[in-house]
Amino acid sequence: MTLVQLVQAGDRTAFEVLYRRYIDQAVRVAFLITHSQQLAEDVAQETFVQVLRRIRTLREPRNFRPWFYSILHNAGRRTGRKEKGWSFFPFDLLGRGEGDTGAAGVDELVLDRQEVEELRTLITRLPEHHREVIVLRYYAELTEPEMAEALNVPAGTVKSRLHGARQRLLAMLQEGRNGGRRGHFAAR
Amino acid sequence: MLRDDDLKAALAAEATRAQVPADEILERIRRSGARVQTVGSTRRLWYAAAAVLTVAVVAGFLLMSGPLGRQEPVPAAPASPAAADVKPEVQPAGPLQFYESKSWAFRLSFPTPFVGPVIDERGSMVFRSDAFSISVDHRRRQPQVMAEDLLGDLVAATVKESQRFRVAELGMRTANGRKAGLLHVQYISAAAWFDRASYAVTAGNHEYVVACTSEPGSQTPWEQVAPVCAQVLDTLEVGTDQGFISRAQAAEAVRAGLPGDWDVTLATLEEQFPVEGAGLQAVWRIELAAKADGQLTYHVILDAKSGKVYSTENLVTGEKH
Repeated sequence: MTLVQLVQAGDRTAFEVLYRRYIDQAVRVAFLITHSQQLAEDVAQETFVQVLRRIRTLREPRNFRPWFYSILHNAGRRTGRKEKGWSFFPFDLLGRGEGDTGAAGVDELVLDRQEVEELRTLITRLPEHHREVIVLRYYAELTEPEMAEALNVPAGTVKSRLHGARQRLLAMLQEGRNGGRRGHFAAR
Repeated sequence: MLRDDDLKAALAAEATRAQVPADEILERIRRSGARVQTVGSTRRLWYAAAAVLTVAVVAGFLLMSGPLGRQEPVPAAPASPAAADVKPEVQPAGPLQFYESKSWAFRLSFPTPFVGPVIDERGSMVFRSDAFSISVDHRRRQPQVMAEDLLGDLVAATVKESQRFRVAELGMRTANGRKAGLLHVQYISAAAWFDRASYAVTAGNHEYVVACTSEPGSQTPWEQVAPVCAQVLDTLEVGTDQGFISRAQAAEAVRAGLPGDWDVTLATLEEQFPVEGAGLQAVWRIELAAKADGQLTYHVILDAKSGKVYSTENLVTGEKH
């Protein structure tokens, strides 16, 4: 019997084990998306409450991870809506089209340590749908099919969002290189 | 094109800014009253609703039929059949719960060096290695042991199952010539306890000993213990997808102590018995694919403490080593 099955059977101890295994990831993923400690905690808490209430609806325990992140995704949206004057995704959009990267012809950008730091800042400025796929793919390390399940969108949409997000980040980095270390990079 | 590693590094760095008050959040979840809606609890909810409805109908009937304005005490509503049916919820028995009345123990032994103990901010003793983080909350009457990462679910789930565990041994020992950390948890029942460990497994560069065996003199038959051990093995196997060890990996550790050149395909705890002068021994059914002879079945007797092979018996030829 797997851990998830034990939780489905009502084993509270198993739930706590599951909780300990995922709480760190849940809070940090929520933080990366919301950029708010308080919201991240609220989202994580709501996520696990929903896990408890709905885990019996999970038919295939192997699919727990994408199922879990779909709950986190929805909990984030619900929790964010409750906040007055605070958008769940509060960061400014940069107003660029997805294809407008200015990065054509670049094979691979090798970043130095400072630029990785800058990248960290730039990720927080991505629009919601882009930031979310970046976090789920490169922090939570979900596969694209898992992301599609978690976000309840077609796999093609995940792919295009990922591509768009990466292109957008690349464009911002290129802009930073061309325009010196100001602009986007100095905003934090 | 951005490199994946740069994205991961940036996100990992950003994520460290978040605090994870795990205990506080868990407490809030508990206070929220959220729980798994088991069949039992759903049924109980219906019973409770039916009982309330019955009481309300009876009370309403008495109120309506009695003289208005009279201050006579309203007779207590008779117990409804529905209310009488309300029984304590029986949690579906998971393997660990099922054997709760039995006595058993297991031990995790990790020969990788660890640091500690140190007292963390919650007052728990914490031992850390590159594979384990084990904390022992000594403030409780029965120490609460939590191990994270590899095998963590097993330790945590078991120890916290009944709160009837105790840390029997916690310290250093020498295993295979190396210093090793040893966490020995015993599960105590009214009858007896099981002791010792005899399952050697490997995961990457790490080696662990996990097993359940019976204390000599224990009245609890092995038949009751073996399934728990099987649960241990199953847990390990289940964890394979999540980076834990598999039964095949465990069997590989057993193979190292066998004579000849064998491929172990399956290792299953079968039975154990006391051996005079040698403490308790565990018998494993090991399926071996010999390089030349094909598939054979061996009984392998392991030293219950060290996990080393004590002897083997070829069930086909009767040959013993």
